[in-house]
Amino acid sequence: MDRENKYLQFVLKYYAPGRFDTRKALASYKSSHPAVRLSLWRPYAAGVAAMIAVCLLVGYYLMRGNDNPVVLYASDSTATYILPDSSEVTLYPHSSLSYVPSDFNDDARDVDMRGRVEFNVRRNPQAPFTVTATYASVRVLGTQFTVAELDGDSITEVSVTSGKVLFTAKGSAEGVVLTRGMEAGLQAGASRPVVREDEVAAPQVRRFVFDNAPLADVLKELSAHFKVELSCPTKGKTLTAEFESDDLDEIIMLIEKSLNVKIERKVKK
Amino acid sequence: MALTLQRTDVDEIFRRYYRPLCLYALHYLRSPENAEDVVQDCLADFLEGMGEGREVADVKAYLYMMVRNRCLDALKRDSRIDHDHTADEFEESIAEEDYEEASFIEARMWTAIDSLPEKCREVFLMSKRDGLKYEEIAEELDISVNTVKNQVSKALKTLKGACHKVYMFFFG
Repeated sequence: MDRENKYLQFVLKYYAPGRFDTRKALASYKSSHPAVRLSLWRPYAAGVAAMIAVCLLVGYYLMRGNDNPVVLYASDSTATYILPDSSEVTLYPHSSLSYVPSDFNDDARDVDMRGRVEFNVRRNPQAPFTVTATYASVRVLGTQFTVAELDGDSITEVSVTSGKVLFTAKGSAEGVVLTRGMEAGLQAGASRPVVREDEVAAPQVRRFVFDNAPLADVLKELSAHFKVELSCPTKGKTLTAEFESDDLDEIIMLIEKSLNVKIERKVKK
Repeated sequence: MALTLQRTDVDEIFRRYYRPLCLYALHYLRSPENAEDVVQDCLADFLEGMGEGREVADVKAYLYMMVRNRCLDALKRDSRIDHDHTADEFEESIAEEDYEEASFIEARMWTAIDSLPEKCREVFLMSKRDGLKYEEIAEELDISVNTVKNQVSKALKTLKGACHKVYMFFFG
């Protein structure tokens, strides 16, 4: 009895309701170790394993089968997927995106979409990325933009975060070219989209990507963006570079250093 | 008691060992929070090892050894080996070799206290833990002294029963 009393005193000293709670500890363990739990032999584990196997099989079949379209959905929350070319698509709730694996390869990347989808396309000039919506079609080389079907799909909106896209009515060859910060809408049945001049939602920092571009073109693009006139007496230079900056002086300095040229700058009247 | 993960599972290990191990660790660490952390880590590592196919002949001995080593490590790390707490005579009188046996009985007591009706537990703790007199408890809770007496004796009986059962279970 004496020993028991000692134990009881020890317990009483530290006892508090809810302390050393086995159920709580177990729940916390399970939430941080889901994989281990699956490896246990529980009556339903076999069922779960079978389900996973079926899902994997179906997924594998869909990814493999060259003519079966791969369909991506977002249900009640946005979902981000990586496409086989490592382009990233973010599907807004209740949007979908599909592509046929045989039409998504090294020569062309064609996807179909419904709803509202944000694209961050992996740059690849050899394989144009074409998004087809219910009424519209957008062709890109590598850029970041959003396509949204609004008002019961009667309006399709495209906004470009970076890069350049060609926005046309479905099946039409003529359209509008959109660059960073531009937005255009297409009314169902219209032959070409209309650019929204007033809604320029430019991101804070502009990203310039030049891939072996003639220096003259580079300066033209920079001039347009920074509202200045840039010129260079040296001809025939090309530039491959990527700038993520709003500091024109820095960009000019970098170009001058890397190409060993002198760039002249005039303020636009 | 050779257990492998095929025959038992996580729930069973937690149900059987979690609380005794916590009390075992508490004897070393004297901090309920640290004891909980050590035991949780040990069980997680142990189960991970089992998941990878490790076989352990005596799960109980293995877990106790694991917890003991980690407690000693923790004490060394915090260099709290020179106990800054004021150990009372009861704790001092439990020798380290008895910690394991004590922890099982203490876990039973702990569970028994947990399962007491709330009012009964309150009265019992005020009496035995806080050392209040029956009259003081009666006044504090606005109940009769007789009720206090009854509740305390009811609680003690439950505890005795729990301890007895544990003796029967492990040593009987």
